[in-house]
Parts: sequence; structure tokens; C-alpha cells
Amino acid sequence: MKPVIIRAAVQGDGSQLTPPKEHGRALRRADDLTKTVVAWTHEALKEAPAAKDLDPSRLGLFLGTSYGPLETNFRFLDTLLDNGEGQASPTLFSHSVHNATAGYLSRIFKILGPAFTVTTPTWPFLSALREAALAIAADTIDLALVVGAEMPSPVLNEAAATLSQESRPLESVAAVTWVLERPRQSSRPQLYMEDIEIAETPCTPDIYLTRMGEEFSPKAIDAAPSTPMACAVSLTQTVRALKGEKGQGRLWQATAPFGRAAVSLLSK
Amino acid sequence: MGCISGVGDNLAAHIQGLKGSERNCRLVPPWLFATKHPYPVFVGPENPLTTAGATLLSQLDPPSALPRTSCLLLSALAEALEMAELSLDDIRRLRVGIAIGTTVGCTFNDEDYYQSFRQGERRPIDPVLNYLNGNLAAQLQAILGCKGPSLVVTNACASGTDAIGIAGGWLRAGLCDLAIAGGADELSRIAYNGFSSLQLCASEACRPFAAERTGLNLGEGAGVLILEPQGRDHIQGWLRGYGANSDAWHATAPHPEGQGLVRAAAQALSGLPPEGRLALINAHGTGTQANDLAENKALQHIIPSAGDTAVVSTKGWTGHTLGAAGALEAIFTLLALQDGQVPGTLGCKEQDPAFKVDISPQGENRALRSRFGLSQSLAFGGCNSALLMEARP
Repeated sequence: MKPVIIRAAVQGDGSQLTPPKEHGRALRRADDLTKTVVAWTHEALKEAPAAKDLDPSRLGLFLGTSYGPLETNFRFLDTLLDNGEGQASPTLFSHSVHNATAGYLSRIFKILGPAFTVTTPTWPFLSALREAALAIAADTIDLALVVGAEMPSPVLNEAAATLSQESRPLESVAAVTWVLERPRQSSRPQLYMEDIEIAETPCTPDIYLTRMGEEFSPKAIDAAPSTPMACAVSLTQTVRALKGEKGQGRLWQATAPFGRAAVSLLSK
Repeated sequence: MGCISGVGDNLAAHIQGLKGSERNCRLVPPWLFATKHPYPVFVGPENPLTTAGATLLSQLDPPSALPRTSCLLLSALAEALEMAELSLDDIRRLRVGIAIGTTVGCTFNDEDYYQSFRQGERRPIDPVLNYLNGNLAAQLQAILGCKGPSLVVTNACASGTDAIGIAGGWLRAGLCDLAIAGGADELSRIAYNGFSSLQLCASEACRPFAAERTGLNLGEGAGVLILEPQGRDHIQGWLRGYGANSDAWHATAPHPEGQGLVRAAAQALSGLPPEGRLALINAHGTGTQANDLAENKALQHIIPSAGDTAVVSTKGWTGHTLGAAGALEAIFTLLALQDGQVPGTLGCKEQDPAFKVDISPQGENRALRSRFGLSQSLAFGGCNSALLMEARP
């Protein structure tokens, strides 16, 4: 894989940040998943101010999620079960579609290039990163927003608790946004993603849910919830620790019963 | 290639079915789900697992029953592997990429479990585990026992097209030796009521691009293509280009001028060789007012010299199969290009007079002037994508 510049990498949850007021009207019907992702993407773009000067058709969006707007889907189902056929909410249905959040992001941040939502039970954020890097390498786009996000779900949380007492559920929407760019000359230190490898192994669903046996190296600074977001959070923390340290490299790795992954990082 | 839909459960049935005007469009059968809505659908076989698909499923260890979407996918995959003369031993020896598009296939659809949950009842969590086990790409990896990049594309109605485009990118980047790409979706009560709530469903068989069109019919099915970087003897055609662009316009409606589609098509058409001519566009053509109007406006820019290129929609035969649509329609595009002719749009007897680009109407059988065709998709979220296909001589 060709290296790409990591211009920004931020992570947080819905309790830490709300979307800027300027997007209030656009987000008036949005669910918490979308609002949180918009808030953190806005934050990431503060670290990549040049993005707004680029041709919008050369901007791409890659969103990785295991469960997407699962709870929004249940809210739609609530209207169907409670109100009956013919009274189900069209607004909730349109927001229950997996790529609804990507649609909001493309509208709010004027992304006219590709907008992909990809789903895996393992490490969806890594899959989104790989697709973004491939699109830059293929000269389809110049800059990519890469997002990982999951929303808390009582249905999943309770099932996880049934399987494992050690399960740490999501309490609010978790989001990670990176900005990747095509490599270019600069006198300032730049952080590169040199390579990404993902090798997935089919696994039993209880492991996907509880994430038992999933480990990261370097270890995460803060313990992340036992969800697919833990990987995205761990990798983002590694990237942020490396930023500004010229000449430093890191090999970030994930291992789990459902596979292994590695991301090579280099600051130069 | 392999496919299954309301038309039939294999390629031969589709080749035959797409030449006729018979439509398997009916009210939702009770064995699928109960509804009082009057909106007809295109239903696949009651048993969506063909014999060959069941043989593939028998590889799953431990054995497990799979959702309808997965069964549709396995049936299409089994046919595609057979046509490509690929054994499981071959698959297990190679690096195999798996990219599958879906919409219903990635959602939690067990209404009974959810109903119990929200009423405070606590039942065994098997439906949750089935949902977690339902990722189509991971399922195929488990069944086939192969290794390589895998993901499910959830770009709404463009998912199947994007899955094929992504898999093509993997092959070009050297991430895999061959790729299994396509899409699958079953009819579900939830999605059916969702589209009904948006008032997009017709209460009659759909009439894509027709003046009197009244909406879409949902359908179900699966389409799978086996992509390889180097052709072997049994090659069916080539993926020559792919484009994907966003409208950045509206959650469910396309840009009124089809701007994103114009850019996606231009990207895909950059793969057309200098001497190449575009013979066919297999349009998204759902039969809704907004889609067909926007798509026709986009067509003015995609094919400036109108008349040289046949434009059709095949949803009159299959309905809108959501995540499967892009894959099925890519296959139909290749089949028509191989045949050198394409049937007109079933359900479109007189096209909307507002259209500037002519649509091949029902009953017309149009000769194709080259082996190049474009298959295009539009989707919720403002996604647009297009595949440029070339048929084997």
C-alpha cells in the first residue's frame, strides 16, 4: 500500500462534544449517532483546514461501523409496532438506513466524491481506513474523511452482559474521525500511515459481541468499551501520542480470536 | 456469474425471463410476512436455497440455519463458482476478497425478540447472536474457508454496485488473487413498511420511466460475480471502469439534475478505450417520479449523442432488490452485451414526455452496437455509482 498522510485523528463520545450550532438546522432530525459523528468530524477538520479549499469531488468519505444506526432502526420499529402499518415514521426509516450518517456528513461537509459505509463484525474502522488509503493511492480522491462510530444499544448491551460479566458496554455514541491526505512535500513533521494489514478469521458471535481476547499493542491509554470501537480508539490514541515526534515510528497491532491487524505509522 | 430473483433461481432462467414480458409481481405471500398494504412485490423462490447453494452451506461448521438473505446469496454464489470452474480447494488456496452489498441483511429483523425485549421479557439471546453472525462477507469466509479482504457494503440501493467496484480496486491493488463480489437482499416487513411510509411503492406492477409511473415495487434476490485479474478460458467479460460520487443533497431524494450520477458515470466511462462506444446503459430506473426524472436529466450529460446508446431499466422484471440490485443489473448488462441485443423496459410503453433522452420501451428489442455497457445505481444518502462492463466477444 502507498503511504498516506494522517492530517488529523480525533476520538470521543457524545457526552464530550455537541455539533456546532451552524449545523443545527441540518441536524434537526438526525439521531445521536449522526450528531456525534458530525461533532467529531467538525473537530477533526479544524486540524485539516486546507480541506475546505479542495475540489469537493476529490473528497471522499469512508465510514466503518459494525452495528450502524441499530437503535434508530428500533425506533422505527417502535412506530410500526405501536401505530401499525401505514403509520410507521418515514423520517425514522430514512435515518435507520446504514448509510444515513454518511449522507449527513456528505451534505454538511460538502463531500462530492465517494461516500462509503462499510460493515464488518471485527474492525470496521480499519476496513474504512484501508479503503480510504486505496482510493487515495488510486488517485480517485485527494483527501478522505475516515469515520468509525457505534451507538449504545440496550439490546446488545444486555446480551453482552448475559455472556460476560466483564463486558464494558458503550454508554454514549462513540466516534473516531481521521483525515487522510495524499503525500506531499512539507517542511513540518508529517505523520504517515505506511501500511495497513487486516487478516480476519471467522468467529462465533459471542466473541464478536463481548470482544473477549481482543488486545492492542501499544496498550490503550484509556480503557475503551468492549465494542468494535475499542480498536479505533486504541489506534487513534497511538497516532496522537506520535504526532509531532519527527523520526519516530510505531507498529500498532490488534489481536483477537477473530483475526489480527497491524498499522505501520511513521512520523517524518 | 450467478443470480437469483423473482425471475428465477439461475442465469438461464434470467436469460429466458428477460426476453419475455411475464412478471412475477404479486401481493406479499403470507408465508413471507403478513401485511395489509396493497403494494405488490417480486418474490424469490419460497425455498431460496438451491441444491448447489445447500451444498455450499453444508461446509459451515458447526451447521447452522441462515437467514433468507444469506440463502439467496449462497445460491447465487454456488452458480457463479460453478460457472467460473472454481472448486473449494481452489478458493482455499488463493487469497480471495469478498465484498457484498446489502441493506436488509445488515439490520436486526427479529421483530418478536425486539417486541419481547421492549416489554421487559428476557428470552434466550439467540436472535441477537444470529444478527451478529449475519454479516454476509464473514459468513462466506466461514463457509468457503478462505482468507483475504472482506467487508459488507451498506450504501443502500447502490451497495451491490459499490461492492463490485471495491472488489475491482482490491484486485488492482494486489490485495487478493480473485474476488467474490455482489449483493443480496430479502424482502422484509420492516423495509417494506419503510418504503411504504415514504410513499414510494406502487400499488401496481412498476413502470420505470413511463409517463404514468406511480412508484417502485420491492423485490429480493442476489447476484454474484467472480472477478479475477487475469482472464481464463471461461471469461464472461471485463470490469472496465467504476465511479462513485455523492450528491450531498438530500437524505432520500436524488439531486434533481442527477449531478452525482453524472460524475460517477464519467469516472466509470474513463475506462472506455478511445475506439470504444457505449452501447447500453442499464439505468437504475425504479419507477418513482423523482428517481426517473433525475436519472433522465443526468443521461443527457452521460450520453450526449442520444440514439447511439440503448437505455433500459430491468426493474420491471425483478422489482427493486435494494442491496442486490446493482449486482443483478451488472449481470444483466453483461448478458445483454454478450447477446448483442437488449429488451426494452418492461412496464414502459410510453415514456414521460418530460424526458430528453429516449428510453427503449417495452416490446422493443434493440441491437447493441458494441460490447460496452454501463450499469448505474442511485441510493438513499445521495450515493451514485456506475460500472463500465465489456462483454467477451
